[in-house]
Formats: sequence, structure tokens, C-alpha cells
Amino acid sequence: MKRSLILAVPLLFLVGILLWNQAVGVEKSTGYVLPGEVKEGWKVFTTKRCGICHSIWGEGGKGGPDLGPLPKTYVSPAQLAALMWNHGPEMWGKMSFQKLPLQKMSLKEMADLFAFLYFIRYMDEPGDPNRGKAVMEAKGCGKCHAIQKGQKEDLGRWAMYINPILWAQMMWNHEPQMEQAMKKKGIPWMEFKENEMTDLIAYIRSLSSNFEKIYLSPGDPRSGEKLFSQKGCIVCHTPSGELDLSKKKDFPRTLTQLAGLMWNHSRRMWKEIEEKGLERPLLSPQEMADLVAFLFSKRYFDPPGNPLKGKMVFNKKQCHLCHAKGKTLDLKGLKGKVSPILMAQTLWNHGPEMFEKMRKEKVSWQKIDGQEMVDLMEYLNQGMP
Amino acid sequence: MKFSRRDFLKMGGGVGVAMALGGGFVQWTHWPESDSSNAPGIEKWIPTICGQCTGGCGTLVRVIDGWAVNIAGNPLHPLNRGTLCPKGIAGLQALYDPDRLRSPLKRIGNRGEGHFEPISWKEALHQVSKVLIELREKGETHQLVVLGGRYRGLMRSLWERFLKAFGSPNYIDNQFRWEDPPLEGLLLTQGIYDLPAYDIEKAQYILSFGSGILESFWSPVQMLRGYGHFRRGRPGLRGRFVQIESRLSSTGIKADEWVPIQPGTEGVLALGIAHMILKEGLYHKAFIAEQAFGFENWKDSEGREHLGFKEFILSEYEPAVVSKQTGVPIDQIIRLAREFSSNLPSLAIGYRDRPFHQMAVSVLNGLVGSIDVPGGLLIPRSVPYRPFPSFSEDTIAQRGNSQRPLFGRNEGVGSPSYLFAKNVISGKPYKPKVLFLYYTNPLFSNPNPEYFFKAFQEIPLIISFSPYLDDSTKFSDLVLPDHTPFERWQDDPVFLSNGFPALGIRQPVVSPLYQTKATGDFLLEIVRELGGQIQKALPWNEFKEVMIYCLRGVFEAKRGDIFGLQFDEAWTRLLQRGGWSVPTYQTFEEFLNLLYEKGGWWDPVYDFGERSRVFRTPSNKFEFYAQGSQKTLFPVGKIKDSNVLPHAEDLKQGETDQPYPFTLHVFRTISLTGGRNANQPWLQSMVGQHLFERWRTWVEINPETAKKMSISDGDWVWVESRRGRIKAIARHYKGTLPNVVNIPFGQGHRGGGRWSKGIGENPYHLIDDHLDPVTGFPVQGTTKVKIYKA
Repeated sequence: MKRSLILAVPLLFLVGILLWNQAVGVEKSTGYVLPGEVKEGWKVFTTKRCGICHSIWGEGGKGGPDLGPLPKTYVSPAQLAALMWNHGPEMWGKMSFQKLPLQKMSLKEMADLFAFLYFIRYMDEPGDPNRGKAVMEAKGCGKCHAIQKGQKEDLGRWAMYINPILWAQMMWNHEPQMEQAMKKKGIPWMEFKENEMTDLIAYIRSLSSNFEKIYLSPGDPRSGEKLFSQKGCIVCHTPSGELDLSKKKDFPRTLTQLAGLMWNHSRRMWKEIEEKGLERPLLSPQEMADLVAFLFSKRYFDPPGNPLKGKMVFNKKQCHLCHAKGKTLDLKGLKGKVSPILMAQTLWNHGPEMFEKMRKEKVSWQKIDGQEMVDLMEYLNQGMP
Repeated sequence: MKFSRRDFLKMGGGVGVAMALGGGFVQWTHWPESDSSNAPGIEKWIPTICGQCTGGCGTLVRVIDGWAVNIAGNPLHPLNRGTLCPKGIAGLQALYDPDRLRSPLKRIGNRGEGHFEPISWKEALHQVSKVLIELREKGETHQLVVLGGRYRGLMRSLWERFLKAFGSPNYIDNQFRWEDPPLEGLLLTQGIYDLPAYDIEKAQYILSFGSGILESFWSPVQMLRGYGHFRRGRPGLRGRFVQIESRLSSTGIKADEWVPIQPGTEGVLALGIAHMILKEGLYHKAFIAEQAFGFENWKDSEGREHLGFKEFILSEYEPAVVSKQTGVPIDQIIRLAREFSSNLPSLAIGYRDRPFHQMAVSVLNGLVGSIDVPGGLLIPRSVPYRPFPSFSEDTIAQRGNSQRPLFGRNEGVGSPSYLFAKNVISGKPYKPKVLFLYYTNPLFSNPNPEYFFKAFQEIPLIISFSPYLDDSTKFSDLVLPDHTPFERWQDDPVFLSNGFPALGIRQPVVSPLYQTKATGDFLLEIVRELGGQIQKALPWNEFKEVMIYCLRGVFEAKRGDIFGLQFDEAWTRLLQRGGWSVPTYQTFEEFLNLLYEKGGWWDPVYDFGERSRVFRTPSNKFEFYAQGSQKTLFPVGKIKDSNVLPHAEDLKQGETDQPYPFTLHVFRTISLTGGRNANQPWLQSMVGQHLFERWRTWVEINPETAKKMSISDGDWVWVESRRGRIKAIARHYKGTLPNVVNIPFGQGHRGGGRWSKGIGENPYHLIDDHLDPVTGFPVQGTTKVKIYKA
């Protein structure tokens, strides 16, 4: 009991994100189910034998896609449910071929699984040291940072920082000094794209292993929210304003991408901070972790859908053939209960049966995108008006 | 007569032993009637670490009313996951050995006669302190020597710190075994002088060059588990295992293929295989290009041309040449080379042969890129202990520490114990005055034990800390018996075959049965007697305090977690890969409590691609040309390129074939791996399972050879070398080459109690003293013997 409590408490980084959002998010009003626990989700992943086909960063089966690095962009819960829907027939076919029985999932288990899949997707896939070396050369980092032991600027010392948040924190705090040094040496400002930062970190980590690695305790989104105001971030990134981070379409998917993004924009940010006469907000590693937890938490849930569009989806995808009002499988009873997790759970448990019925009725399996899923859920949540 | 439940259990501790003995059971059947009810006792299962060999398996000991009655594997310990080998199961026999030493002893007769009288610990402390104070007063601190055996963890650090503070450079390792992994090979190619991990679970093909990994490896249970996974744990993928050795061992029996070879030429075969891999271009080109040094001919900083590995091997080790030396057919050499290089990841595992034979095996892993990759050779990280606080030596200690050590020139390399013995006999640079023996039995466990007898005679005071009156303890002047592993605290840092570091905690499962004392605790008592800077360097009262002090580093490292189920393992790994630390404990007290409750801590992460950890060579690469060896192995004079490239070493078979026609091969069985378990009847009863041999020493002879010599299966024979002879039972064994005879090691003790003393023979008495110039250890496969009926 004590052990499970101890385990549960530090997982604030995501669990906190999810519970906190549940309290403040739009979804609360629509009665979304309680999002799950990350570690329990991992347990579901292993006990339901997802790992037979799917790997996480290379560890696990090769029959299905690796769920660590994929997909490349941010995936909301509705998008995830849509993805599962679209790939359902292929998955069931592969499971049948491998003689893997379908293991039904409870709503709680599906919620846990979602939490887990969300969690691993914003952690970074392992970087490539060789590509990182190329990045280092291309960006000219070596002009200031030697890769030699004993030198002050030796980047090898940084090998101990394996959590990208620590990189984000250090790069954020030292940006002004770095910018000055770069100017002095006539080095143009450079930016990091996609996984370049991940590869760079992998390269630097490969250089030295003489230090104990430094790990970070997961951040707390509540503290992050407070910091967001205290450190003055909110002055520029006002909610619903032009720079509202929760609405940013190219918001990074992973933590290292976030570190890269902070670096890319740091020069501009520092300038604006100066122009506005604000104090330079320096951050400790844990503050940065809290802040990042807060920023990621703002992106977990989908925006509300459009019930009218949802109705169109319902008809276009031929759901009405079986689930229309008055039919045996009337979905009106789902009013106010629908969430991506429920959709995924229903699909998982009843999908093969549905698929078989559709096959008999000669109805093809209809693919659906994330936005369509959001609208469809809204339509169902409103009781199919 | 009253007979309490406690008394019953006290006797009951010996029941297992008595049953194993058969004859002993009778006396236990005459128990007096108990006047108390036969109510169930209080039962506990206490996690600890097996002390039967160096394996480091986690055990759970069933304790009833304070008496240990059963042993099972700890399912949470990642090394053995609930499994145990026969040695582990027999562990209680070490605890309840009726011939255990029960108090400190002082010699009263002549040395070696085995006559002692009991003394108190107070008296023992007084005597030892007096001698050490004298050494300090006379400025002779360097004449204190500690000879340490095969153990791990902070006890070793404690000895070293004690010697440093006292003023002696003489901590001497006495733990060389031919069966160990090829440490010198790793030193030459990767600059690391420590045990590597072999990721056999993920390998596809294993070439084992004389390595008894399934029976006499440092951690046999771990290897057996890994082997099971290698063969059956991956659906659709069954690894292939090839065993190359002169004797068909248990490992060979389990392998897919046994390649019989002349003893001592395994490394030569590796060179032949390397030749074919090079010739057919089957090597891993990316690894060679990016991570290797000395593969091609090269120029040094002064512009001098040097011969590279490729040209040298291609010119010197044609299969025909290798076949002639090894006895392995050319076709087989070619096939093995192709199989090894085309079934990646493949692994070559050797034994502690001569250094450049070891290197020949190591470079095979480099040729196929099986270094620091899943399924290859890995370099584990260590357990992050908190370092001891700094201290300054006093002037006496400084003077003592500046003296030349007694273990010769190759500091930290090879087996200093032989060089130590040699220096003691010669008296150069000086003779020791006091010798501590800790966890070692050099008068039994080293080839040519007479050499050590001779050296020991030169030392005025020998103090043994053994719990048993073993061969070396019998030769001591003062015996200060340690607790057995079930009675003491000890840390046990190990690593798994996949490179994960793990820390097992050995804790007392029973109160000490006798008046014994943990050596660590006694050492700290001596420190208090000595006082001054020595006490400042070691400010603890007992060993457990030392352990807790250093464990704080593990807690503060914020990595890894307490032992858990396999599900927890993957979870911890997943988090740590992202740079997160989410252990099951929050405070140091919680950490300690969980550590004792679950049995230990581990870090289920291996960081691939950390080149500075994996290659500690001058080039920071895998060295096919051992640049680093010039400094460590050949510090004086210029050397030829071919001397530092892997090459066939001179076997120095000094005897002519006529008087001694057989090569002697000494091997270890799983039950008596280290020779430290001979006092356990269960293990004596299963020492030679493949031939149903027990309680005696046998010599394996090829049946055809035996027939020609008219030696029948079961005849008593003499096996004689230039050094002496031993009597053994002749056993016809088909897994023996016609010109080789095999004798197991582990029996033939001159002490150790009723189940050890005088049982069987020690084949090390036959071994020639051809010492390898680098390791300082006798060379395996060079002793010639003859056999005749007794």
C-alpha cells in the first residue's frame, strides 16, 4: 500500500497534468471520464500484451509500429482514438494471425493506456550521436565549446544532464551570455529544428561518462501555473492572446523539441522582456520542470467539437445504418458520457464484432480524422440532436 | 530431561546436514521427549545474498524462532529471479558446519599442526593492536600485508583505506582463476581491467573459447538463466552456442557443437577465425572505421610506420597453420568464421588464458562490432556509492605508503599474489612481518601451493579471519573467525549480463551461533585502538555504519530503484531514458527499509554509446594494436609491433613427451567451483554428476587411451608430474582428448573440517610453475603428467 502511494505521488508530471486539467478544462463540463495513471497504463500495455506487436523506442514487438517515436506531430486524445479506429481492422487481422486473443479493456484501463501513450510521446526517442555530431559541426558550436577534458567550455561535462529540461533551463538562463559571445566571434544566430537538439544531446552524452548522471523529479503543473504568472511569462503569453501557447499549432511534441524551441525564440523573448522593462526571469531546473508540466498540460485535451458537423460525420460515415435513433443500437443513451477514451474502449471491445457486421452488410470500414472524431463525440454527447 | 523448542531447533539446524550424511541421522533419532507442546514457531523469510560463491544471487532464508531452516531464491533479485544453483541450496551447511570455529584461537603447537587454544576477543584485540602499534613505532608499517580473496563491495574499500591510513601499500589480490573472463584481453583492447558483461540473452551466436560459463563462471546462475533465454526465450529465434575446449564440460554438453582442441591453443584458433573473417571481408566495416584503432598499418606521431592487425593476421595465421597447432580441421575453422560473422549479434567469450590469447578472442568481438551493442560485450556502470570522506595520512603512514609494494611491477594487473610470494621468499625488497588473510585460502586455491607454504614460513605472524580451519588458517598464528554470510552485514555490488548494476544487501538472518565477529567490525575496533589519524580516516563504530554512509550516494544518485518485478524494471527504465527519476522511496530511511525488505537496489538502464566509458585506451577506441599495453605490460624498452598485436604465445611445454605423455587439464565443477564449499556434504555428494562421482577425486581418461594402457574404468591410478603425484580413480570419459587427462579442482584440503580434510586430492600440487610474465600466474595447459596403476 505504502509502496503504491509512494509510486503514485511523484508521477505528478503527467498524472498531475491530467487531474489538474480535469478540474479546469473545458472537458469537465462535458463529463469526460477521469483520465488515467501513467504507470497503470504501462501495466495495461504489458498485461494486455500490446508489447507483442508494438515496441516503445525499439523495445518490444516489431509487428506493429513503434509507439515511442510515432507519430511525428502532437496527437490529441481524439486523434488517438481516431487512429485506433482507422487501424482497427489491420490490428485485429494481425492479432488473429498471431493467435492473440482480444483482451477486453475497462474504461479505467483504456484511460490508463491513454495516459501512458500521451506520456511516452512527449518523452524523446533516443537521439543519434552521429547525427548530433553533424549538428554540432553545422551549427558551429565547436567554435566556442571545446570537446576536450579540463577545458572550461568543455561540453563533455554536460553529458551528465540527460533530462532535456535541464538543457532548456541552462540554455534559457545563459542565452544572453551566449549571444554576446557569439556576436564577439561573429557567429550567426542558429536555430534547432525537429530532432536536432535530441541528436546533439545524444552526441554530447556519448562524449563523457565520468560523471554521475543527473535525473529530474517530475514537475508539478500547479506550481508551473503559479510560476507562469510569477515569472511574468503571462505578460506576453496571455490566455487567448496572440501568443497563447495552448493554441500554438507548432507546439513541440517532445521535451527536447521544447528546449530547442525555447532556444530558438530566446533571443526575441529576451529582447521583448527588456523592452517591456521586465526583470529577467531565471529558472531553476525544478522550476523549468514545473513550467513545462504546465505548458504540456494545457495541450492535453481537444477543443470542443461542433455537434452539427458531428451529425454530418455520423451520417457520412454511415454510423446511422446501425446506430440511428430508435434502432437496437441507439447511441442516445451516451449523452454526456462520450470521451475519446470511451470511444477507444468501445472500439477495442466491440470493434471486431462491428467490423464483422459491417462486412456482412457490405459496408466498408470508414476512416475518420481527429477533428471528425471531436465533432462526432460532441454530437453524441449532446444526445444526437 | 527438559527439552525446549529452542533446543530442538538448535539441534534441528544440523538435521539437513545429518540427513545428507546418512550415518549422522541415527543420533538425531534419539531425541528426548519434549515437555512443551509442539506449537508452530514464528516464521520469517529474510532476504539476503548467497555467500556460497561469487555469483551474488539473492536468497530468502526461512527462519523459525531464530533458526535458519531453509533457503529459496529471492524472486525480486534481478540476477537470479528466484532461482538458485545447488550451492545456494546447500548454504545452510556452511552455517551449521559442526567444525566451524567458535571463538578466536591462538596457536599453541608448531605451525601447521593445527593446535590452538581459545582466547577472548578482548585478548585478540590486545594482541593484534600491540603488534600493529609496534610496527607504527618502528616505522615498519609497510610490512603489514593484507591478502584478500574473492569478495566484493565496501569491505575491500575498508581494507584499502585502513592500509592507507596505517601506512602500507600492500593490499594483495589473491583471486586469479583460469575460469574468469579474459580480463587482460579487455585491458589490451579496451583499456579496462574489470569484468565485462556478456549480453548472452540478446546474442544470436556464441563462440565460447574454453569458458565454462554454465558451470564455473563468476555468476553461474545468471549465465544459466541467460542461456535459457538465449535458447528458448525468443519465439522463432534459437541462439547457437559453440563450445571450444579440450574437455567436454557441462557447458560443452549443453552446446550445439563441441570443438575439441589442444589445451591452451584456444586463442590460436581465434586468430585463425579472425584470419578468415578478414580474408573474406566479413568484418563490421562501420565499427572498424569509426571505433577501432590499429586495424590497418599506421604511423605514429613521430612518423614511424607500424604494422596493423589486418596485415599481421593475414600473413601469420592461415587456417592450415592454425589447424596444425590446434587440431581443429581447416573446414571447421572456415565455417566457424562465417557463422560467427554472419549471425549478428555474435559473441566470443574466452577464459583467462595467456594475455595475447585472450586478446585474440577479444578482437573477434571487435571484428564483428559486438562491443557496446545489444547482444554484445558491455561495460557495466558501477553502483554510485558515496565516496569516503577525504583524510590526510600522518607522517608514519606517508613513509610506509611510499615503500615499494610487495607485488612487483605490474601494479593492478595479473595475479600479484605469485609475485608477492616470490618476493617474500627472496626477501626483496623486504619481508613482511604481519599477514592478514581475508576471504582467501592461498595454501589450497593456488596452483603449486607449496610455493605459498614456503613464503608463509618467512612471515613471523599470520592472522586469518576465516570461519573455518582451512588449509591456510591451519598455518596461521592467530585465528579471528568471521561470521558466516548468514550472520553478517555486507553489501554486494554486481552487474547483470545486460550491464545493469545491482546492489544486493547481505543481512544477518540469524544471530551469530558462536563467539565469532564480523571482520569489518573487528577492523574498526583495531582502528579505535590505534587512534589518531587512522581513527579520523575510519570514524565508524561498525561495518553497518560504513555501509549506510556509502549507501547515501545510491539514494542521492536519483537513479534506479529498489528490486521489483520485471514490470517495474521496464517502467523504471522507461522513465530514466527520459531523464526522470521516480523511485519508490522518498527519504533515505524509506530507501534503507525497502533495501532490507526487498533485498537490494538496481538500475535497469544500460547507456549505449558512451565511448569514454567503453574505450579507455590511449586512442579512445577499440585497439586491435594494444597501444596501452606498452605502459601497463611492457614499461621498459622498445617492443616489436607483433608483440602487442594478438598473437600465439609460446606454450612453454617444458617436458619431453616420453616420461610425461599427457597434458593435465584442471577443471571446476558447479558444486565445488571455488573450492570453498568442500565442507558441505550435499555438494561433495554431487561433485561429478556426469560420471556419478562423489566424495573422491577422479581422473578422466580417453577410453581408447585407457584401453591401450590396460587401465579399467574405476581403477586407482597415480597421476604424476615433475612436481609430485596424486592418487585418483580412473574414469573413462569420451569427452577427453587422447593426449589429455582431466582432474577436477575442489577437493584435497588439508583442513576445513571433517567433510573437507583429507577428502580427495588437490591437482594443483601437480602444476608446473611456468609463470606468465604479464599476469604472474601459472599458465594453463602446460603441465605434463604420466599415469600408472596404483
